[in-house]
Amino acid sequence: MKEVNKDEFLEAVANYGLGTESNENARMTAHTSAVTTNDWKKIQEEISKKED
Amino acid sequence: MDIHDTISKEILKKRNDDKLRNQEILSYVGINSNIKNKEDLAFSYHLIYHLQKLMKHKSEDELKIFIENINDYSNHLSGDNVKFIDKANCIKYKDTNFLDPIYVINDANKLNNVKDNYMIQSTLNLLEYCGYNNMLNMSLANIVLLENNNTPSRSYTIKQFPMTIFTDYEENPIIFAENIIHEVGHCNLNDIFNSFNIDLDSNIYYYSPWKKTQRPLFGFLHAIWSFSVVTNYYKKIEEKFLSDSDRAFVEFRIQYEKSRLISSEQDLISACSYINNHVVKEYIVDQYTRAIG
Repeated sequence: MKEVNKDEFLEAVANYGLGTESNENARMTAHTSAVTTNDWKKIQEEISKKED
Repeated sequence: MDIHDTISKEILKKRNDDKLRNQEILSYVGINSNIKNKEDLAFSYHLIYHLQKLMKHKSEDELKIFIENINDYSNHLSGDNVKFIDKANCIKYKDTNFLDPIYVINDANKLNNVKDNYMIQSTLNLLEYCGYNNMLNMSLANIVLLENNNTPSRSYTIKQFPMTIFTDYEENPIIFAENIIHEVGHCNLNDIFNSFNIDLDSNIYYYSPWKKTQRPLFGFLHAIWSFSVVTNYYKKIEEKFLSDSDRAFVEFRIQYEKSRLISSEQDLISACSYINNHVVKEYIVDQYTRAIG
């Protein structure tokens, strides 16, 4: 069985700033596509109408 | 040495420190890791996060079983190329700090090589063709696939998981490539901030025309950076062989993002005054200037 030193692990993680708790600067950077597949299909439809 | 070389050199230097640090942290729970490349390093962040969660919320037995099974995890990884994984093969955590769930990779055996997926590999090839080799090589190790053809598609990165991006799968390669390079852009900027020890004041806010709200300096700079990267990607695409309909779409995206970037120019000038490293400042401004030009 491997030796598990939880306290040392958690202390090291916290000291190095790798904790699961996060501050404002560690927040997720999420992105929702500005143009969706549906928008894209509409653009293609508009273009094909013009070509017609 | 040009600015790109300087940035790459600093990232690689810091990455070596990060490898040794993560090896040391894992050694406290008896995991003997040999972190050889950025893929190993990227996985080690997932492992450390998962171990913390097991320690805080699960039984001692579960923790010990997991550690026993993980063994010498670096032997599970093959080669130094980008991997992908479906979210169903990850451990889902809900963190109150984040809007979206975190999908943690707790088993390297479940990672797949992108070379075995034609669509993902083709999309990465498209980005390489557009000149993003360096950014991909530096800051992308894992792609966690979320939903298939979600409308609108969603993607994100989390600072605690360097070199990992979380993204919906998108059937249109031009849009899928946008999502990937947008997120890799975030990873890249985090790598840069980390390597140059950039500490940003979280009490300073600027208006983001993307989220249509005030965002802290960190988030504002990230938005400017990633949408500049995306605009420059579309400019590169525009130079390539495109059908008329693809060209109309690409031109539309360039104009759309340029107008939002231009509207933030004065705020960016102010925001840059808080970056205490001229190389980093110059690097961000260069990406932005090319985007709005």
